[in-house]
Amino acid sequence: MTYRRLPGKRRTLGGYSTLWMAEDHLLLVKSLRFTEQYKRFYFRDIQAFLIRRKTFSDARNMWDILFWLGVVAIYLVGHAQVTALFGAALLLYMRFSGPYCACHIQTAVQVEPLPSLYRLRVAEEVLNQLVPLIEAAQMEESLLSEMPPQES
Amino acid sequence: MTVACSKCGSILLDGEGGAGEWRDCSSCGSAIRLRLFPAYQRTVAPTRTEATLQGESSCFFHPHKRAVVPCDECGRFLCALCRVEFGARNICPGCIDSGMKKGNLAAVETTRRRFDSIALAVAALPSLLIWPTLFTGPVAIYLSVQHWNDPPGILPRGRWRLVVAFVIGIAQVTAWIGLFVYLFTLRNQLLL
Repeated sequence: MTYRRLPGKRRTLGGYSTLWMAEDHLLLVKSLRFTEQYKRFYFRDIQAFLIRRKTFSDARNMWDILFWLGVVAIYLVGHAQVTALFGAALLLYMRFSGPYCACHIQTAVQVEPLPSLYRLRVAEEVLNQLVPLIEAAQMEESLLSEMPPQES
Repeated sequence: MTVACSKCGSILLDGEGGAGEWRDCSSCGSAIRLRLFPAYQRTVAPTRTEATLQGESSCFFHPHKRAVVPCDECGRFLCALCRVEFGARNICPGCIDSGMKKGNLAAVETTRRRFDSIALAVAALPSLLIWPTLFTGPVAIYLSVQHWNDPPGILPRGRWRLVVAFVIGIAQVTAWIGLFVYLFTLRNQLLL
């Protein structure tokens, strides 16, 4: 089975999270540096895709920005303009690379967050790629279930 | 089954809508885009197994139930209850269990230890303190050689980490041997 990596990667201190696509399922990979954990979501089982736009008050979003504001402030006070410039550049990047979001996938038995889709632009791009595939898989499934059993 | 807001947990809808348009959560006001698929409306019928009639094959695990498919791994006949579908394949519970234990059934693999990353970390990180490489260099070489033929994971991944770890390990061991030889000859010269 061949996998194709979908856009988006969420890095954390302990590892990262990515999303991969096979011909009949999605694979959520959570890497903890030395181990990888896999979760599969078969296209025929996916019930819903939920994207929630995050605001400034959402904790992760806010702490990211406050951290880099702090970096800029500390280094401006300490006359380390080069480092302050680096912090400011990162702030600008965060500001102009689009709004944050939280993305979840729902099946009949679970609601699972997709950490790699934390930018709205990326989440919508991935959703647009997945919608036709999921619909096709579920259409095929419903056609198969409606077919009368074959007489042997 | 309903769809709930991922922030406040309040129910967004219970069966209608969800064409992918943006809406506000009525409870917390978060902007939400919900895309529902046909599976949301689908009711899953309970699995029905049929009793074996004379002349019909029976399930390996339930001798009184009619077999519907063979296991694609071991070939045992399975009833509708024992059949587990993985894409186009049907696998029996026994093969799933042994596949998870042995790690040779990619479709059920949920965790994989990355020995190439471990080897690279063992080779590279102790270099910062220099002296631990006396011990970690050989360990990095051992890990690189030991796990060279590991089955590839389900995701595409090259062997460059093992190669780099091996090269760093060899360099560290060579450097330590060179240092000891140098110190030994220096000592001999001083004694003479």
